[in-house]
Parts: sequence; C-alpha cells; structure tokens
Amino acid sequence: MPLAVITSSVSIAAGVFSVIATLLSLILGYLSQRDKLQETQKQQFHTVLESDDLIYVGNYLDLVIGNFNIYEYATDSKVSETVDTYLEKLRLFVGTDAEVEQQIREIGTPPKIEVSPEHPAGIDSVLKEIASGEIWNALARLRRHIEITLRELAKAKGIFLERPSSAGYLLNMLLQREVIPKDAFSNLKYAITICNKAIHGFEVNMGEAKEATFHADVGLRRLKERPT
Amino acid sequence: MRELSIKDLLDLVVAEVPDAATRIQKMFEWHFERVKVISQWILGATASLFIYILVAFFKADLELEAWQIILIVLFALCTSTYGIYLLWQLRSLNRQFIAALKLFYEFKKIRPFLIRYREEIK
Repeated sequence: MPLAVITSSVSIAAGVFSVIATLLSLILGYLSQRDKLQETQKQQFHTVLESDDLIYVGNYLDLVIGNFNIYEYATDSKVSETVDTYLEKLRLFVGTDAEVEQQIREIGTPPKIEVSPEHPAGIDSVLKEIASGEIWNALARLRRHIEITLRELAKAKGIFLERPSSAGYLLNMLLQREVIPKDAFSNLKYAITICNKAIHGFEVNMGEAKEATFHADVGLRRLKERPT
Repeated sequence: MRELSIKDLLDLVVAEVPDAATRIQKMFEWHFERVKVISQWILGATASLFIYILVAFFKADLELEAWQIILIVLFALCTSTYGIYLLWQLRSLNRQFIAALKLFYEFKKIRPFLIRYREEIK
C-alpha cells in the first residue's frame, strides 16, 4: 500500500475519532442541558424571589442559572426563555442603579415620627435581625412584609391586580385611589426606598435600617387606624 | 461557546475587569480562529485524499481493493462532514457573542447586589 494512502488513512482515522468525540460531547451536552433545565424547574423562580432570603436568590443565580453556558443560551429557546424570565424578575426585584438612585433623591428628608416602645411581631423580628447585623436580609423581609400588607389592603378594597406588583407600585396605586392616607404613604415610601437601597446592594447602616423599620411600623399602624 | 458559562460573566461583572466587553470579544475571536483553522485542516486533508484517489483511479495505477477504496471514501466523507459541521457551528458564534454582551450588560445593572451577595457567602 502506498505511503500516501497509509498517511491519509491515519489522518482520516483521527478525524473519525474526533467525530465520535463530538457526537459523544453533543449527547452529553444535551443530557447536561436537560438536567440544568430540570433543576431550574425544581426551584421555581417565584418561590426563589418570594423567599425573603437574598442569599437564596443569589444562590439560584450563581448555581442554577449560572450553570448554563453561552452556547446553550444563544441556541436553545427553552434555556434563553428560562434565563431571561429569571433575569427580568430579578432586575425588578433588585432594581437598577439608576432606578434606586432616583428613588433615594426623591425621598429627601424623612418625615418626623414618634417611635412606639412596642412593635408587632413582624416588625420586632426585623429589628432583631438588624440588631444582629443582618441588615440586608432584614430589609428584604421588611419590604416583603409591607408588600403583603398592601396587597391584602388592595384585595379588601376590591382592586384587581393583573400581575405581581412591587411594594412601591402598590403604594403609589393605593394613594392615587385614595385608599391610604398621605402620612402613611410618606412613612411607607421612606421605608420602601431604604429597603430598595439595601436590596440593590448599596450601603445602609444600622441607624438608617432601624429608622426605616420604625417608619414602616408607623405607616402600617396608620393604615390599620384609618377610617374604613 | 461551551467554555463560557453565565457564571463566568457574573464573575467578570463582580471583579469589574477593565474593558471586559473587549476581552469577551477577544475570546470569541480566538475561538472563531481556532474552529476555523481546525475545520480548514480537516477539509483540506479530506480534499487531498479525494484528489489522490481520483488521480490514481484515472491513471489506473491504484493498487487497492474495491472495499478499501469504499472504506477510505466513507471515512473521508465522514471527516469532511465533521469539518462542515464545525464551519456551520461558526455561524451561531455571532449570535453567541451578542448574547454574551447582552447578559454582561444586564448583570452590570445589578452589580451592587452581586457584590453584596458574594460578600455575604464568603
């Protein structure tokens, strides 16, 4: 057999091996992609974003969403849909630099309040968490607490919400519909802005966090005391 | 590009690597060149083998059995298909590059959150 044919045959055999390796990697890639999608479905995003635990939210991004590679994201519509939906929800949850900075500029000086010596359980647990140094998670919990209260209020007033709305959106909507008084609005607006600031990752000190919690407490009390 | 994961982009955002978008572009350019060269080698090798067989066949000095020729042609076809597959894969590289940049800028919008999260889990 001529040398050229032997050499060519060897190079072709090497080519065939690489084809087999590629086919194997395609199959393994498909299986791993399927596993990753199953993992995202196991831990649904709404459960993640409603957990109040920012570490859990970050973990999901880092360990579940972060596992996909760019090839999968760009070529598989299921993967891109899953990633885009989560990122959109996360962006709404965390807010962007520009949005949070604008909110901080808008609130200005907080209204004066009288701090009550006793607090309801929800507020008390937030204050305890702040005292232990867990400001980030404590303010996420506080914002969730306000959001739930406002959502219940909207429901009680027969206001239909088409989609899950943020605490800030609910607050503005309830003021526009004259469901909540202006003083309660100011207190809650301040509390929500500080919560947003912390959740976004900007620095919030313990004093600021406590003040936001007191404002939330006063605002929520004013909601309860309002004439129905 | 299977080597670049979404987590790598998160790491780039958190580390605030200067000129990260240009670095991502460079990565894709290297990847493009590498895949292009491999596919060219493969297609070149199979083309030269086809030419060798054809020339030898027409000059009637091919000392191979029919089954050997068929086997070589089959292998060559298989390998050239792989070369074409690699070239075809390059078509989606532009889309992957744009997707990587899009995600990178999305993550930049929530950078303080990502930094705070990474600090908390340390």
